[in-house]
Amino acid sequence: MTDTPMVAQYKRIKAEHEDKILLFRLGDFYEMFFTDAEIAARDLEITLTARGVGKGERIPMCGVPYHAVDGYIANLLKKGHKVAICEQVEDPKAKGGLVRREVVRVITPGTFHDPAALEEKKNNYLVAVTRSGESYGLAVIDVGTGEFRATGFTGPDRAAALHSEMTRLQPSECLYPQGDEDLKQLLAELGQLFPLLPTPCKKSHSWEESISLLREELDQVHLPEGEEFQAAACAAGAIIAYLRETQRVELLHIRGLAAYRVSDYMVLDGATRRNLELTRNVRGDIKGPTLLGVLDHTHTAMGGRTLRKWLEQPLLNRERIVSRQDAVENLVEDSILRTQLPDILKEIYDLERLLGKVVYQTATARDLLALKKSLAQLPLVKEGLTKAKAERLLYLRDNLDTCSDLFTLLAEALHPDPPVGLREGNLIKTGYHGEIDRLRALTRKGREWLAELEAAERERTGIKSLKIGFNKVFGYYLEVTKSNLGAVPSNYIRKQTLVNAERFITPELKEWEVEITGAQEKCIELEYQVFLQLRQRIAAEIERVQGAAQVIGQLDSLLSLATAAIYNRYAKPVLTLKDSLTIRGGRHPVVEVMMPGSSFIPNDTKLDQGHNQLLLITGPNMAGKSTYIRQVALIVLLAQMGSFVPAKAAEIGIVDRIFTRVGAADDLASGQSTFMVEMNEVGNILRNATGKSLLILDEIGRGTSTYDGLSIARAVAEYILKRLGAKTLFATHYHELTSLAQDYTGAKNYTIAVEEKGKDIIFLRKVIPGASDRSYGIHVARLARLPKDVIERAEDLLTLLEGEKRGKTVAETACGITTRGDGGEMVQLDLFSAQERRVLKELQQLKPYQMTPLEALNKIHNLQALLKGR
Amino acid sequence: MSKIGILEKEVANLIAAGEVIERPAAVVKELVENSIDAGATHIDVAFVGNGLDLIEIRDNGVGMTREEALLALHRHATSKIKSAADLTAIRSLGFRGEALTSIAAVARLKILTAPADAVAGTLIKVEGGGGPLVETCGAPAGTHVTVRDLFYNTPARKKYLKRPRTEASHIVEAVTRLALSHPGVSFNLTRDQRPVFTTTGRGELADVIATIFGREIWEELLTLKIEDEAVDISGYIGRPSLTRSNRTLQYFIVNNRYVKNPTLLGGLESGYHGLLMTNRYPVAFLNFRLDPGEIDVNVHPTKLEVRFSREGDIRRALHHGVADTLGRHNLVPGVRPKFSSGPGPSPSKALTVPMPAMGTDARWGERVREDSLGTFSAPPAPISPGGGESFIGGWSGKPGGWKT
Repeated sequence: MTDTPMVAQYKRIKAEHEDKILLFRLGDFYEMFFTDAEIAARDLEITLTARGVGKGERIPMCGVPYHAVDGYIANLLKKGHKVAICEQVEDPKAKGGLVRREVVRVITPGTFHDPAALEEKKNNYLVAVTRSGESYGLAVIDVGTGEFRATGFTGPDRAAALHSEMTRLQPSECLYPQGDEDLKQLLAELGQLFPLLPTPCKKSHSWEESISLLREELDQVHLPEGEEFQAAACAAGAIIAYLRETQRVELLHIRGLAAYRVSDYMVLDGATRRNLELTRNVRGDIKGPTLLGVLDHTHTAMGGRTLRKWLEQPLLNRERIVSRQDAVENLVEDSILRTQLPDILKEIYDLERLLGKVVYQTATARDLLALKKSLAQLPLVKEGLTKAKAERLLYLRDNLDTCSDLFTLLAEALHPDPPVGLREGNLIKTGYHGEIDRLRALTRKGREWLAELEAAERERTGIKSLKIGFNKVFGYYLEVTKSNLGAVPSNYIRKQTLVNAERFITPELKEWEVEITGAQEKCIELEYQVFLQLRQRIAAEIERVQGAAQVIGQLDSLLSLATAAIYNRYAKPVLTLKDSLTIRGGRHPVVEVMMPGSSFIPNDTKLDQGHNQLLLITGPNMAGKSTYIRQVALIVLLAQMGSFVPAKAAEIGIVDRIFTRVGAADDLASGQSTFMVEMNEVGNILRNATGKSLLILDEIGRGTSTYDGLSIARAVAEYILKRLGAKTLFATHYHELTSLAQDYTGAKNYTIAVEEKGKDIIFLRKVIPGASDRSYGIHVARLARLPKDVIERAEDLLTLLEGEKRGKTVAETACGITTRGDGGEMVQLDLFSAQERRVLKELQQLKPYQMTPLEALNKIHNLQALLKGR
Repeated sequence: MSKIGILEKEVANLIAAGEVIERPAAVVKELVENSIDAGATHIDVAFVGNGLDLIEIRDNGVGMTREEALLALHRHATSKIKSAADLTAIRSLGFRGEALTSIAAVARLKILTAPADAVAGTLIKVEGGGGPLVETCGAPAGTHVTVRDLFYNTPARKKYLKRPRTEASHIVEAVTRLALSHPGVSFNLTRDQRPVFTTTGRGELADVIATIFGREIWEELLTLKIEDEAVDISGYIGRPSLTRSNRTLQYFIVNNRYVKNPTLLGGLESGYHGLLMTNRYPVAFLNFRLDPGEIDVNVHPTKLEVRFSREGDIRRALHHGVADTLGRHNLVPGVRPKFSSGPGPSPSKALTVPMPAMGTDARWGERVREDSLGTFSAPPAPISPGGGESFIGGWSGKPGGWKT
């Protein structure tokens, strides 16, 4: 059985795109065949049918109408497929036989940019990773907005750094060299955290090839020295090559490649971003309460994306931070300025993604209309900033290109109410193009003539109900009801008979019909051409509009921060280069907003590298320890983002990294035990923290046995105090650790105030100096309404255990601490027996230099006897 | 007459409450005034529906200790009643201190308060004037009052209330008046968990007006400032083109207190003589400062009426002030083109679009902002901030140059 020509054509094209779903244009539909059809039917939930291909054979088929294809494409991408669009590139009416078809577009998750289907305030990134020597390179692009950047990672922790940056970017697709198993594995792991399509690349370009590719394509390429940036260049080259292959248009909106270093910004690893719930909460929802949710009062898509970027990459340079801060302050203080901007900004569409559509030649007349409306707002923004005082605002104002010429062009050329399609006319405004106006007049005149003819014929024939109508089959006709047939003149030619009427034509009518429809068709075609030209002219000015979009994005972000500051009562923090941190009346920005009707209780914090380096927070669970230590991290992050902070006052010494080790977010999926994960995270922290870092540690050592955990916790704390010098908040349930404050001047004890009322406790949520002497675990258990019997038995056991231990010294040589026997230190178990303790005590009290050798030998003998004794 | 006697405490409270607490808006007003007296700089007001179900006022004032809080609840407005005269005297003196008692008599009241630097705070719950439940609790410095089920025990009072929307708008109006009277306090008003407005509390009446009433009103206001030996007047009045069909947008604040006074109304409207259409009223936000001795506070605290001893002088001063201010401005309404003139930039040149400078007659009619805000500065030359952002697309961060 030979294939029909069409099936052969299909198979030929499909052979080149085996890894994609091929959408094959057939008339008004995009069809899929064979396995594609089955996959699509399942994933898109549409009907699987079949198509006859001659000789009784049928092949599986399913299809979607062409005007609704965008939604279906989006769904296919969501399911992780790649899509190839195959269009009819010739006019089917022009020639007979098989129409020529070609793949005009390949859409993959990373190259998808339809603004209607994407989340507005989030970028959709395509990333490429490569390896070069001892470094990794990473390049990232958003084809919707035109953003293109690259960075590299080197050093022993480069894999972790790469992982971290990937979790920040959350790309939807990642290119990697085919055959590199390590990278493949990394991407598989990341794929567990967010949807990521790994795309292996067969061809690897060398560094030279990559650089020349980049230079060909882009106006500017700025890359610093270093092996990691060579790898970055290769990654960038891979992206360009991939785009050339899949996108059949010139990517005018991607103008340059900017290099960056992850260390230019505050370093936040994936765990920290998750633990602090910056843009997603711990459960992984985006909808739940997050810091971004509290701050986001942006009015434009660009603003939303910019704000997110600022949040994810807090700054390290004091001047840059203060520059943003001053702008926020200006907006906070100047209510008139602040209340003017929202109305103006609300009318601005997603300029960046609209430009993407222009570049991809998919922008419709409605899109250009949206562009026009947005451009109209630009001079108002500029005007609104006239009275601004802050340097950054003035800078934005002065660098805002209002693109007034483009606005004028669109205002003059574009029809004020165009349809969705491009082949229905009404794209161009009257008065812009002479020929279009003429054709329109002609059409109108023709219609007027028809109306006149109708009136004239009615008079001539006396048939008052005579009508002129139109349909696709017969064109224009004269319709006469059956009862009036007698009055029909002889020059009428009968064309169609209906139940109640007959339809006629006249030669004159047909002449006019040809003119009118001819004019209409010509008009539509001409409008289409003129529209394409218009679109081209906009495309030529992309850079200017992009620049304006970025200014708007920044302004909107600053305004959002100011709005959040006023609404949530934030204060302006003072930023210093010192190593200390003082917060008065600090609050958790997310928790305080999520507690309607209750009052969040503010607390102070003082951290430095002297006497307040490591704050040990003990106290009952549920009392607010975790909230407290997290709020300190969030306040520092907000400050370094340029925002105001939820506190009465704050002085923040700039921090280079924030690390968190919080809670037991079990990584069952990655096949590691909780404790292993915890140790990995702690190890990462201890290796990478510097004296300028901020560490937030919550319940270290919880995932293992008590003594192991306590030992590790203590050792970690001592390491931080002695070696790292990083400011640390250490929340723990091990009360033994409170003795650190006695042994190290840098450690201080704090606890959460709790008031006892008989058998109940009241959480006062106030952080006070001192050590908690009790866990109140049983009180909490009572609050959780454990059965009364269980509670009472627990209380009895507690008294027993406490009674045995209180007042006795404990040989804590395992922990390397000597106690002073002042009691109040709870220990769960006895490490040594009574004999051993006595022996140790005696040993401690010996004075070897005052003993004769014989005395010493005797003493040893006695001690051994003691030990053997029982 | 034996009919006048010592009233039972609960009944007395109800009477007192009824006089002062006519509607939810009155509850809000009393509590907010308490907060202001406590020196608060941040006051949050939240209510649900028409205010009967829930009203919450939170402030960062001095707060109360446990003892002080109990004391505040136990003050009786009526313990000394023997005659009508005493009743009058007590009501006119510091009645605000009795607000909590009155409210407690007709609602379910919860007070959470703590003084600054306290480790623990106090939580008090009262229902209908019965004994209070007191416990220690964690609390931020300041006071947080929650009023639920207002008028649950006085159905008559409840019936007399207007529709929910009206009651809600009364509450908003009450807070608006307080915000205008105290621009140094930051007010955050929320209704059904949606923000209504938040003022910055930075001390400028202009900020409060712009925040609450918006750009459209603000742009049509003219500054007024008079210093007279009888009174100092400062604030804003609307252009004659900005009118209303009623007097709702006229706010007179005397010594930081919102008041109603026919003299002031008269002075204002006479200053507009001839410029207004019939039955159209001007807009005004005016602060009056005068010697407290020359003001008579009316008997009933909620009616907000005052009388001045030097009525004529004040009226004259206001009239002249208004007339002068109006006279100094060209009052023909300006046409604002949607799009400013100026040649479009050519892509290769610098990007600052030449704008017509503010203050020139580039537009028909003068622009408000010059005069009303006093200062006018020309746009400064573009400055490049240190360490520009590394922008996408190769923006070097220097003004006037997109390509390096």
